[in-house]
Amino acid sequence: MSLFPRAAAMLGLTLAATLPAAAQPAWKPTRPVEFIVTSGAGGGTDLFARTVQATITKHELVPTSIVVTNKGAGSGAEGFVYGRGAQGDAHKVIFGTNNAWLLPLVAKVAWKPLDLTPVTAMAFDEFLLWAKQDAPYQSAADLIAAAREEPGRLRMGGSQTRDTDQTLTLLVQKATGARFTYIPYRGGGEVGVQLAGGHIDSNTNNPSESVGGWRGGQVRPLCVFRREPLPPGPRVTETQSWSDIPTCASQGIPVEEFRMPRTVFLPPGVPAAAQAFWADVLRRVSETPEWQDYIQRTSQSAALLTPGQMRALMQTEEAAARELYGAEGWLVN
Amino acid sequence: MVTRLQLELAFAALVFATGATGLAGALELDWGWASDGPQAGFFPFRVSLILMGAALLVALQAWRGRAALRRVVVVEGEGGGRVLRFGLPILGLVAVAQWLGLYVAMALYLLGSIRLGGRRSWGVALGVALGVPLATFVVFERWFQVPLLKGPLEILLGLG
Amino acid sequence: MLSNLDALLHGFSVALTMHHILLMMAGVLLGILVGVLPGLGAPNGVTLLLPLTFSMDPVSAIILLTSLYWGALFGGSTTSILFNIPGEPSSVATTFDGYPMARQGRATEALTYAFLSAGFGALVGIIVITLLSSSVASFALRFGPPEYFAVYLLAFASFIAFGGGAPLKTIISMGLGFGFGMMGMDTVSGAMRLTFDLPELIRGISFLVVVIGLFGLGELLLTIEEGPEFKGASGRLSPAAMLRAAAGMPRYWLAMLRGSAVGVWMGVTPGGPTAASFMSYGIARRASRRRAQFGKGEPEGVIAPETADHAAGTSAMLPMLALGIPGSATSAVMLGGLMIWGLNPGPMLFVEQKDFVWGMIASMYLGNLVGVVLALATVPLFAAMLSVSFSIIGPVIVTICIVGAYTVAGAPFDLWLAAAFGAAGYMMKKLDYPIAPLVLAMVIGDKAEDAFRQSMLISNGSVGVLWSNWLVGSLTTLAIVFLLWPLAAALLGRRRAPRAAMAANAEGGA
Repeated sequence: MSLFPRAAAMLGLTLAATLPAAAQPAWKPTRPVEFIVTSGAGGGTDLFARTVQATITKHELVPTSIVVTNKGAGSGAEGFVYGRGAQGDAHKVIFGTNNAWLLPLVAKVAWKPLDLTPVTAMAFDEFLLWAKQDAPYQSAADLIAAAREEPGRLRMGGSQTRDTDQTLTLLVQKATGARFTYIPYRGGGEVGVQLAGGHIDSNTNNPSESVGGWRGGQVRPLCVFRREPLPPGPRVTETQSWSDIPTCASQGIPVEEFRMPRTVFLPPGVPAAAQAFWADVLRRVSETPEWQDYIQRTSQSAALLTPGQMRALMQTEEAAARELYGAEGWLVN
Repeated sequence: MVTRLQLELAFAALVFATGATGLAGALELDWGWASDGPQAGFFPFRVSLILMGAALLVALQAWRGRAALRRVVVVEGEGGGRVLRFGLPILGLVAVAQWLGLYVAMALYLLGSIRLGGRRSWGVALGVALGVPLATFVVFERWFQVPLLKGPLEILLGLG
Repeated sequence: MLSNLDALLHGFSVALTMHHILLMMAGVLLGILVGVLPGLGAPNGVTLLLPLTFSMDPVSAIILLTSLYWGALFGGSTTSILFNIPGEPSSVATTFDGYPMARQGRATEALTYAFLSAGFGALVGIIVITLLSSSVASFALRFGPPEYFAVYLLAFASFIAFGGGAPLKTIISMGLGFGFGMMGMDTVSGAMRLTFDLPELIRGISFLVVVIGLFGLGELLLTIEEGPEFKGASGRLSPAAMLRAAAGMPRYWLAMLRGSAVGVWMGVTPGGPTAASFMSYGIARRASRRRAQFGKGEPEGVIAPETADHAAGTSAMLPMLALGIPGSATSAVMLGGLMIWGLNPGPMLFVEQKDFVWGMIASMYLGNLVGVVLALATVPLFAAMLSVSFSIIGPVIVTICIVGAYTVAGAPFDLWLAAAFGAAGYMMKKLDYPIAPLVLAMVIGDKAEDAFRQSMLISNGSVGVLWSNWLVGSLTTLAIVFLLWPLAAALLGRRRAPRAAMAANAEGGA
């Protein structure tokens, strides 16, 4: 008996899935699709792309099979260059972050941000300021004061060089006049453990990168780089949940907001119908319970940008980054 | 026929050239030791110099012992011929794979080297030449979802 | 510790169900398959199975995935021994003596030694995890960049210093390895290094492509030169040889214990299985009385890297769970899986998820047992491949190598690289250039460089940071002693017997 309503629901879902597609101008995949992940296996972008793939497969949103390939070398440059080279091939979908338009500013790479066809950004990952559990700094203000007192003595860890973590460190330094020594590592997980071991004094990890350490009493969040505190949710530790973390602006660090979009692109020169097809598929992915689950588990903020909004986001971020990086002498292009 | 002296000198030259290329690449970077430690080019610069130096020394050593090394034959005619007959088809396989894809290239290579190189019967050669790419396709594309290099044929069949 | 044993018993009650044992067998078999094929590895297998595990309970899921990992570790040794093609990076060191043994018709023996010693190493690794789970995690936290660097330096020193070979050619081999390892994006500065603005070089040169070329293709060229058929590879499979080898295992107890100790050390610290196997091989060659036989088919040369490889592979699971440090590509994927199952790696995992953690640890005992049995059962299958004529199996191995080289990064360019390194490997063998230092330098060179430069960022360019506490200080000092060892030995030896030393040099150089 219990089978029937589920089957009916499934039928409804497939119907809902097929009907709008029929109304679309005709483009749909005719051969296996490749999801290009611009991070290594197990990285944040990898998890993002694989969640999308699993959801699409489960709800049969795409008629052909999908394979996921990791091309994460050079902070993702490998994947973007590969995608750039697949001119006009809408069977290749590129998953990344804002490295799609920030990396070409700071490294000699063979693509320009405007080359790629933007599809959407499906989530924003948040950034927090973390300290070791037994560190003397009770609040973000304490940490900044210490970093101001002896410039360069405190160490800030982050993943990669001239990537989001170091950009945020720069913004914090500019806004507060403090100075940290920035130590680049290979990934957020490693940076979290280095903080737990006391080898660095602070980091700007995403929630999912440090939640284990927070629950285990190794590290604690000082503030979140967001206009509002995170939405209420279940408790993470005995006493606190994500929503109890104050915003950094309220703690005397005037960096209003810093977030990393999880972006999807297509190669250059694909037909507009293909762009619309993928935008539509991803919209439907974002409406599934699996996607909601992923967003909640990784403490990200859901979003769904249109290609136009993507272009706008790229332009504002690139302009701001150009100014910031230019002052640091990071620009290579 | 290749003597040990010739091969020693040739490989030393190869290493020297590699080192020189590395040096050129390292010089595009900052190769010093700044206040925050060694810069990006620091180690490439030094490793390149060490490679070039060591290659020169090996060549010098070989030249000093040239009388003896000239008499040592490292590759004799018959064996060398077999190496070439085995090695050149590999290059062919790689070259053909670039435009026809791995599956077609594999089939052609296997057919050619088993039938012509190994002088096996057509039946055996065809069996292996079709069987191996097919098994590879099933294991890689179907089971493990690892896409291999595809060419026009696979795209025509809607597999690529 | 006693409470750990209690917890373990509880873990067995969780893990020991028919369902789980079937999962283990499926996982191990699949693992052996991906391990044997050089292009596929444990990460491919784990990513493939990950979606299947979403609907499982976490204990079953992790049992399936870890069993696959054990299977891949076992399978990786098979092709190393039979064809000199390392199926997995960590089984490169197994080729040094395993392949010569196979060429002498002792393939069965070599495989038996490899699997049994691997099982032994894994067992030691798991026992360490069981007894020391709490202290190991806090020990791993002590490792910052200087300590990382010291661990790599020590691994490197113990392999290089105790090796043979002409010094100049060893230096060239090492230098090439370091150079190739440096290509691509530099982690510390973010700059593209030695890429010459070629997009193909952005990802650097993959270690696996180099290994497939140097070892796999290079060896095939040498084989074909000697004659159109495999020599001595008639190695028919006799159960008697398997039993004889098994009965001979206890003789090597010291090598096994030493290898396990090295492996556990490298698993708990960030060294990893590949570096562990090299380090263990280097130390065994130094310590063994049968030093001269190493590289010519000495069983100890198979046992030492295999025990270390598996001891490292299993003991590395602990830092992964307790801290979320991914020790390898495989564990990185597993960590992603953990998140999807709703578990967060970290110290609380051991407190809140006792069923999961101890069920998994208990399953590691069983999974490795299943692994040894199944791996031994596949020996006849693979040994049978040796009896196929070279005119057929040779080209087939070539295609396996080429497919393997492609799958590393999905790049057609890598096929050319593999072919070029095949030719280079052939020449290097002809001229007695040692290949192992090149491989090791590629594996740990860029990691060591990163760690060194991170240390310099921390200390503002002062090398003294490498002696800043007892842990890093003793590691660095030990590594330097190892590095100076051959120099000191040569000086002492020369004074005692100048002629003998020179004769030995001449012999080594020829």
